[in-house]
Amino acid sequence: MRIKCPHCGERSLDEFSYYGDATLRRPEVNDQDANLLAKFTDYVYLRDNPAGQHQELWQHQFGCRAWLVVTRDTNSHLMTEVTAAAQKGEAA
Amino acid sequence: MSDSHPRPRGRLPPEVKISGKIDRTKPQKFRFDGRDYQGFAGDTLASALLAAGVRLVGRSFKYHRPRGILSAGSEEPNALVTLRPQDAHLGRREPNCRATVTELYDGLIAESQNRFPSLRLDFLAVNGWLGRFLTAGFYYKTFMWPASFWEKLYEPMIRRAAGLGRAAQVGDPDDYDKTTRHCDILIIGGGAAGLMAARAAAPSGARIMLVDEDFQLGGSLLAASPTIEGLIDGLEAGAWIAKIESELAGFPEVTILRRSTVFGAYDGGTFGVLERGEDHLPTPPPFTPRQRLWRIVAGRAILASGAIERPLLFGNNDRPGVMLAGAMREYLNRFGVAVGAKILVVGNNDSGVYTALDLAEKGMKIAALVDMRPQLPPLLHQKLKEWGIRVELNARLLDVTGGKSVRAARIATASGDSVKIACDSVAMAGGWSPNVQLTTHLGDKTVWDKTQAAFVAKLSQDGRLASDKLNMAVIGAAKANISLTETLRDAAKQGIESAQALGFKLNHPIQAAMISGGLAMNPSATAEIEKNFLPNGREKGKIFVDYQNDVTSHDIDLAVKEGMVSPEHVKRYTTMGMATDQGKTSAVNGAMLIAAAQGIDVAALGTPAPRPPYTPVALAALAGGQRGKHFKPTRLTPSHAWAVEQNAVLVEAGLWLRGQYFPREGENDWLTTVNREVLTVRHQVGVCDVSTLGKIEVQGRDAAEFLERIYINGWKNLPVGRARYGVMLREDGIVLDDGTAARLGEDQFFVTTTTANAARVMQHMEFCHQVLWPQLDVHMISVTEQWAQYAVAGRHARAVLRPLVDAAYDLADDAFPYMAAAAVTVMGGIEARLYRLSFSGEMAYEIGVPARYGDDFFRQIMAAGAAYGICAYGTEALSVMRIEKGHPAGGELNGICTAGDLGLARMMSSKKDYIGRVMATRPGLMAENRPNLVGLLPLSPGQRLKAGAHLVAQGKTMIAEHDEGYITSVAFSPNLGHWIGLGYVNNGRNRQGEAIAAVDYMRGETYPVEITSPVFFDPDGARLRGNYD
Amino acid sequence: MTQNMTPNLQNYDVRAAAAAPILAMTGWDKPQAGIKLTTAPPAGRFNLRGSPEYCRRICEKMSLALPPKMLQAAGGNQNAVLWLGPDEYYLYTEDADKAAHLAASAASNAAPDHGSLVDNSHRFVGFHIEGENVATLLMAYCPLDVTAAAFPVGKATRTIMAKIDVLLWRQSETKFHIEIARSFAQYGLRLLAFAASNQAALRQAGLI
Repeated sequence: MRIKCPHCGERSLDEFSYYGDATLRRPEVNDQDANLLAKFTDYVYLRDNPAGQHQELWQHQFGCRAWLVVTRDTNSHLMTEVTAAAQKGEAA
Repeated sequence: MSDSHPRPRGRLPPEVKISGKIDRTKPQKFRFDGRDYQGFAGDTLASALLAAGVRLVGRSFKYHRPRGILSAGSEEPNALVTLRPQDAHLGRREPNCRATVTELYDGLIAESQNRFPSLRLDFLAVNGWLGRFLTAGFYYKTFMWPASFWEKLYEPMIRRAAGLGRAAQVGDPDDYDKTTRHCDILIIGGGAAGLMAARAAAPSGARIMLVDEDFQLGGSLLAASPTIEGLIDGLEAGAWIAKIESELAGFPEVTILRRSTVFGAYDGGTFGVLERGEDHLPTPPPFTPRQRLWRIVAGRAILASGAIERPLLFGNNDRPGVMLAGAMREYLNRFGVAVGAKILVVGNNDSGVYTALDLAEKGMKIAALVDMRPQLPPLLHQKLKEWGIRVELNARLLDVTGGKSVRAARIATASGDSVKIACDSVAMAGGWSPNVQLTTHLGDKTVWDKTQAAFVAKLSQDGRLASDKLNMAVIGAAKANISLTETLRDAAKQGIESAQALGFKLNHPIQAAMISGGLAMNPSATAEIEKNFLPNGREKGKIFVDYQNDVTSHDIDLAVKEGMVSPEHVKRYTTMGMATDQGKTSAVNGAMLIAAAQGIDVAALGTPAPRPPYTPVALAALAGGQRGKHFKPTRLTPSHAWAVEQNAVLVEAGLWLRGQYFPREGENDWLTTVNREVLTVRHQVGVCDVSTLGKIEVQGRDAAEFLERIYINGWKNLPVGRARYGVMLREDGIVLDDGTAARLGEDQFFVTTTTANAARVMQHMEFCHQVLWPQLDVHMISVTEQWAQYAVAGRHARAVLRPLVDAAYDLADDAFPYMAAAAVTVMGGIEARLYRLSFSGEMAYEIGVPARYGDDFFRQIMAAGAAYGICAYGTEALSVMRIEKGHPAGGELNGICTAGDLGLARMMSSKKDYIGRVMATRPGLMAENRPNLVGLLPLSPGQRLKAGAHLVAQGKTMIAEHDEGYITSVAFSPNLGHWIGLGYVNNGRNRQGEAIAAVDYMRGETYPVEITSPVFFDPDGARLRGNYD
Repeated sequence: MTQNMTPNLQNYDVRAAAAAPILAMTGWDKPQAGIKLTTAPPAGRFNLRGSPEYCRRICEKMSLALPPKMLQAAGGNQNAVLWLGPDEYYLYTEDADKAAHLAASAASNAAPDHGSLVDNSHRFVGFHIEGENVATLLMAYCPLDVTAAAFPVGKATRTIMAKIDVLLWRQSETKFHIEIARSFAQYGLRLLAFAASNQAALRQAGLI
């Protein structure tokens, strides 16, 4: 597999490490929220497992070390979009 | 006119003109099953054996039936031999090699397999008589009773009988290499189609790789003859191949790999190729790898891998002498070998006719041509008449007789009568299956083509695969059973289009080569194969579908009867298609039988998709140079050279090589050395290389805030010039790592991690920064390798360091108290970092110098400490001391412990959020009865503790329900004079003083221990805060 | 104060101390198919991150401008800025004065709110690997296309070689500067030596 890092160009899979679902957002920490633990439990453990388009985090560990959001089809492994995570990041 | 004196079996005399590539001036001696023979350069082992009249080459897998050579290529299922059996002691013995692709060399030694005591007389042939009981899936239905017989009798028996070939028991001594190559066009197969495509694309300047399995290019052209295939651009096939090869050599961007198999298609246009560079030599030349694994990244691939001929289904279709028709022609035209003296040709397409005519032209006797079709193309029929060949139309072969060799064949004529024909060989022309295994490697499926009676790749208009996973065009026989003229035209077109599609220009694209003469202008379609193909019930004897795994048509019927409906189930139940040939000669026949058994259309059924590798790949080739000690990197510490000089005992700590202990003259036992090191540190001074710990610079305006968010404890209030112990959690509340971090500036922290977690923590920090909190102004930079770091510990530590640290820096206790940290200089100006930290519990410092000075600086410390009796101490002594002090380390940070379990709950800040805080409040992680870190003392004085023993209340049996914890780390404490341990015990902190049983099933020991505080030595910490000079 | 037990600090030779042995490279005596490997001189190496103005200011200390695009080196072979990623400039200089100047900036942490400059001079060891087929050699264990067309002079990047991190910087048609983390250096060199000895075979087969 090859991944097109937006900074480094197309690189072999060996240079990357896979993390998981990129659509998750760390829940806002508000201790008054009675559901806070439930929200965190989902955040830590619950995952969709789509057959098809999946947005996921990879780190270009042996390259520029950027965290990347990759849109990959889990059936064909075709990656249609790769962007730097830092752009998409939100405030915690 | 057929020759009245037919040729005997064996090598044709030199007068018979063949296009062949053997060199009669270079004889090659070889030995097979202990007998000596001779072949020529250019032979394969198979062709040389056939030339010598040897037919019997193996015994089948299950039934041990005598087997001969079926094919002339890598699809061979029968002729599996062991090469270099004489070099088994060197590790070069290689089982299951196909004799058909083994290049002959002088001195080659080979042995047949799967027979005892010999090929001619094999005791296990008795399996053939037990055939009724050894049908598909027999092992699911037998060997069950009595249950006790399984281990004692059945399993050992089956192990002895099972398997094919014996591997060497010694490591492979040869070098193997790996490489990556990027190219624009990868052409898979160097036959007519591949050569034409390469030649057409080459002038564009694109980087082209042409890869062929064989040691000679040409593919099926090597089996061609001018009478049948005609001339190519006026040249005989061999001459045309040579011409194209030499033209291609003139293009610098064209690389040709011979003896190389593209064994797998992978994502992203990547292909795995195994180059068997030196297998054709007795031993590889020095400094030359025996095989090379190529990872080729191609812009586009062109599949020109040809087609594989199908066997026919008749009784005893596996007897020696039964061969694929195309293979017979290859042995004839390429190697000059007549494989039989009286040949019956059977077929359902024109290839059968070509075979009969070709063999007759070279003087071989054709017993008859049995064609399943009602009529033949008039020109071909005419030629057959001219040669006086008996032709039976609308006929079929029922079965053959003969044990170790074909003796006669029984056919059913057009009228339905059964007729016996004497013959010693049968040529099967069952039709051609495009060899498209590579197209299914990524999950795409082939489709059934009715006219070809084959599974073909699904292509779009432009000849490329209709797939979004693989950018591949298919040409030649791999596409369809087309004429050579069409193949060359299509190949040239595809070569040109591929180059252009990738952006390369071709100003004067060449024309495809032209065919003149020959009979094979328009291969006609095969007969209504599906109707005629299947056995009609009149056959006698086993009808084989998968030769290598001994799967018969009866097995398939049985599987379907037993409810296996999908081809995937039938495959696994019968093992059809699961051998090393991956169903190359069985897939279509099997699919048709399965479909017929269920009364459905083959097209609807499909066929299992072959996966990589196309042919077997040696594990050594996959490893390349990364074997044994070099499988993973070995990392060396800055003081490594010094340790080696001292004959230190080194230990692998992850990838690092660290000093474990430093024995001195007269110390014969590791415990003696370790005790000495520990006592020296506790009473004098010692130095230990701790460079392996991870070190990260965290800088920026929000550096402190960042650390607040990832550690459980606080950092904003840490003064500049101080260090603090910290613990970080995973988001699920479990401890990730611990270590000290020093504040060297308002916005500068120097963080350390454990050795094992250095990379993980760095990745975690980068994740938090880039993904969670990109708005924070913070940077993290790994500096693990920048600093050589040494712990100097013991009452004389300050005295040892004083002369090394430049005078400007005050090391007095009040100026540099416990947990102080600062940038200093040493040795007259070399920048360094000094921390007053202690892992050992003694007054101690860690001093970091830039790594290039590390070796020399270690020696300076030893010199400076000589007067104080300094010693180097290793990981063992380090471990003893930290256990004495109850510091958690690897054994305790087990991936399931919380900060509370470690007794560090009070470090968890309630004033801020941090990674893992919320999930750490899960009831299960806060339960009272959770395992806590405790100390453990043996109750009898000399009792040795061992890590891993589990703990249970005294008197209770050690079963899961009663398990209360386990011992995580142990050490002999020379300070206390007995063994001590750390461990986890449920609710341990409230059970101090209680006796509990340690039960060790691994070592078969049980002994009582006492639960105690984990800090065994100097619990008030007086020594590390001490002010010694 | 205890007695000074070490050699006279006045005469302490820092350069001799710095010449700590890079452990012997194994296998480099075998036929090498025309590949030459030498150790680069000691150099200053710094990781630079931060705002564009801050980075520009730091590079001025090397008399250099920032590279115009990523994976590019600005400057010469002895004094260069490499833009290795969105968050990393890598400063490399064999000029002792420039190195000292940068080291001082790094130590003083002069502009903490605009970026960070970290001295990593000892983290990597530098080598020059030179020869007609140097690209083929590197691709034995690097899956990257480092042929001249895909990886021209002046291009630099981090990539993987077998299982380790390396920095590749093409300095001429036939020469690469390669940086390997210090503790991995011996392993990395051994890999290259092994691949180089196998190059002889590729040469003979006419494949390179």
